[in-house]
Amino acid sequence: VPDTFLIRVCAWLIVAGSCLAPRWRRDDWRREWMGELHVHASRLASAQRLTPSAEWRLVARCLGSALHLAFLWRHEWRLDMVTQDLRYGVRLFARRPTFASMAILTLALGIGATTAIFSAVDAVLLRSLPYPRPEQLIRISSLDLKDPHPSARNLSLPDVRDFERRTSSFQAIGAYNATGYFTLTGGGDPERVARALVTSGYFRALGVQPMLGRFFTPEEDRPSPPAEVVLSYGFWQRQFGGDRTVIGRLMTLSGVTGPIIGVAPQTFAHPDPKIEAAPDVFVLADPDEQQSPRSGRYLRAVARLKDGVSIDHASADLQAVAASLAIAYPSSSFGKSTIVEPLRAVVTGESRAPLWLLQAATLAILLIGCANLASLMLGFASGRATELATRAALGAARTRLVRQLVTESLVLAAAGGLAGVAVAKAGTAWLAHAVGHMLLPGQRLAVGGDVLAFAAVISLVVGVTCGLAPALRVSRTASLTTRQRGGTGSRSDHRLRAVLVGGEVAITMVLLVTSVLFVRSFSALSAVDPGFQPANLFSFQVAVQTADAPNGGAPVLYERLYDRIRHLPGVTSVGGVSILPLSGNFSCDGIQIEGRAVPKGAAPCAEARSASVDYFKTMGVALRAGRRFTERDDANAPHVVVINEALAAKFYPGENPIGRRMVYAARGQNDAREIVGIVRDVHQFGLDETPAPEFYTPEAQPPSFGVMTVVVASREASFALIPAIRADMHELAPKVPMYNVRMVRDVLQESVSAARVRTSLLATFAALALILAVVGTYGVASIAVTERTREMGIRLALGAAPRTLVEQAVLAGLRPVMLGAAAGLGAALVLSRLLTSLLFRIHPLDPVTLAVAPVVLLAAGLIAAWIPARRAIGVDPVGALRAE
Amino acid sequence: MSRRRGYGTLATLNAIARGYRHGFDIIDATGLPSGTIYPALGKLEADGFIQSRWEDPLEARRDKRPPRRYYELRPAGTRLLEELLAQYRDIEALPRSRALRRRLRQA
Repeated sequence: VPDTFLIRVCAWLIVAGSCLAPRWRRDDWRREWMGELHVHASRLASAQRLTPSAEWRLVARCLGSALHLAFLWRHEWRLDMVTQDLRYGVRLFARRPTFASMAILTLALGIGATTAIFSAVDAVLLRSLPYPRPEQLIRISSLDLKDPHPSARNLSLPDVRDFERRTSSFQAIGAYNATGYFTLTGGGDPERVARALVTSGYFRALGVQPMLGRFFTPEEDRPSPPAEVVLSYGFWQRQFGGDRTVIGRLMTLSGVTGPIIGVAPQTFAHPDPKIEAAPDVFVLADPDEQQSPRSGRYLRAVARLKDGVSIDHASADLQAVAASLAIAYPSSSFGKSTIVEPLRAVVTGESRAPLWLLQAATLAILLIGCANLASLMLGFASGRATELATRAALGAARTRLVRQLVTESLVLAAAGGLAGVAVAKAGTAWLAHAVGHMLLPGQRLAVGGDVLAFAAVISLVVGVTCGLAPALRVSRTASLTTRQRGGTGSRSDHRLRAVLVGGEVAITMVLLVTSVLFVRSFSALSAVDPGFQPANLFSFQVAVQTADAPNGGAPVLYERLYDRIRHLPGVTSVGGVSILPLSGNFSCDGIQIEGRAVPKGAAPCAEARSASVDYFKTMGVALRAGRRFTERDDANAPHVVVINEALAAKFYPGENPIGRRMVYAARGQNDAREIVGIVRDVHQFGLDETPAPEFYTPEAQPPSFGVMTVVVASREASFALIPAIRADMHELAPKVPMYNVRMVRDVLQESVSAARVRTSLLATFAALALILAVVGTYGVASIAVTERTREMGIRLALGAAPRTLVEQAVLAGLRPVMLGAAAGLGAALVLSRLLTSLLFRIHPLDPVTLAVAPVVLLAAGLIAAWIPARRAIGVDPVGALRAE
Repeated sequence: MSRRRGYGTLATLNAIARGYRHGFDIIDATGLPSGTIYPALGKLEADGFIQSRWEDPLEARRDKRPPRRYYELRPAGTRLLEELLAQYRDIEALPRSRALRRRLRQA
């Protein structure tokens, strides 16, 4: 026979294949294939036709033997055998409903939790963004290099226009601002609609085609652009009932009337999860220098790379333009650069850690459930040792017994999986709260095809793994020897169960430590003083267009409204502010501190708020120094500001700022204002964020705002006053909408709702794990006690103290728990470091947590071991001996 | 014979009838891959159309090679082959449709 490498490969393939053949055909099969190979190869060699290509054909032919094997196995695994096993399994479990329902419940919880979280992981992290060729999409942001920790910031419209004109890496660049609202008038009550100001590149960069009509054209990106409106699919359905003739119809948005030119498709999602509301209408941003100065960075930008252009190349391209802009416009662009990130990373970046953490927690529960089930199956199979041994004696092959036991465990897993999918379906509604802010607007959590496939796969894996180990073990002993009736479990059975219990306790410990850390972190977060008193406060917003304002401007209208509200019964105080704390909006407006030289273009910015006279009193924001606003701070009086402690500390360290002057250098203002008071810091952006420097201007002094949040303090926390206020508002200004009515307490709660749901999910998972671990420990301890009944009876009869017996049994039951807890604590110490970024003011090695978790776990383990051990005293010595 | 038999079965039966009796020889004769021929052989044998035997070890030893398994037709197999060939002939004998004939005439 020719001895070339490929011929040897053929021989290996055949030998390997023969190992996979059914045993009774194995030898036969190998001889047939080897014989053919031998004869064929030598025939080719003697004819001088054993070329490399002929050898490769032989290799392919030997690979084809896999199909021969598959054919043989298909004949082997006849369908009737499988159905027989299935029917047998179902009948078996139907006769043991407690065992079956315990097992199914365990699996349903594990599979359900894992599947529910997977639906979120799938929607947020795994599925690609809903745009064509999403890998080409990037986010462009500006970067302030003067900042010691620069972070991605918004861009100004002139910057975006320059990027469009002067770079060559992009198919399109689109900018958007999706933070505001329009007031829709012209049909019934005025309504607010969420708006997005966009450039024409927005839809082009995202690669979206209109469902109806057209989108904006590049020529329309000009100063005073046409007042055209593109509708979102949802708004089109809601407002126009999906009427296909809307194109060309006129719409009046905040006093500007323009035609509807297009409707976005249903699948379109705005590429930014962190916005208050999905945009209803899209209109063009005005690139006029007055409207959008280079220093007005209010836009975010998405761009689509040209084919074959790398993100690094695009980044270099943009940075070159940014550098030249910094030289050309030092006052606005000094020290500014750009940063590009894949859009996907921007959209999913912050969700990754919490979601994977939750997924890991559910997998841990599933593992614990699996360990419990394997332990149960082992006990169950041991109990059937006689049956299995009899079958083995009657000639059942070991594979046949294993197959049956695995089929039974698959029956359980399938039932558990089905119940788990039901659990997951119920869970997604709840989960939507936790992950809503991670989804793109319009995306939904759903238990769809891929989630179901995931559930099916994990059920299958669980079924096979939980069934296989006990099946192999039991079938081996069964086929070796016929066991004694009622014989005790073997030593290795005990060891396997102890390892399973130890493992689940270890996993539980890790989960417990994690969840205690999160609970402590959340309580630290909840304990943060927001800087205002939210009790009995409700708020709503009004939006006044210039045309609807009385003489003297919008502030006059606000003042009249406050006056009316103040006289309603039960109202203790009323105030107004341009941006409510924790509402998600911000304004970084430029300021200059008088008497302080500022490097060119490096004007600092602070949060600017316009507040009414009674705002601080209504919100309960404490005064630290100086005075609050008074009625005399009106339009004619000298302009004044009230600053917060953070601004005072940053710009007047160790000085008294009262009486000093600062310049409001934005929104058309450019005058020095006297600082008359200092108020407490208010958490504007989140309880976990350090309050930013902030200043307030009196409502009656410029700049005035068209949108105001009115805050009302009343004796009771209720919305009972709202109808009266609505009526007043309608009398004062019928065209001004009143919206977003909320309790301020709810605004505060909502700002931490994601953290709350995440924490309660983790706590729930930890509790589940604990319950499962207790059940597992109990089961194993209980089996151990049952098996030692006879021994205990003898010892009792010989005069052993019952107390000693109980102690020994408890200790025996606790041993795997202790070992598991120690191992779990070690693992937790290592793993908790990964949580640092998700914790608030709690160190991952928090001593309280590291003390609480083991105590809880050991206490639970003690109870689980003690209950069965107590039975040892109740043993009747005579009965125990007689039972033999 | 309720189950439909494919080309692989026909080719295998035909090759055996014409004297190709070993697995690899049938593969060479039909030009079909091993993953088709071997399952076809297995199925035909299980259904009783062919039978396989090991050749005489003495003969193999005389030729200094391992013994080979060979396949032969059973009477049922011969009948099946004729039946299948007849079907293929029927397919070939299908008359042209009137429309096609008309088109051919015009061309």
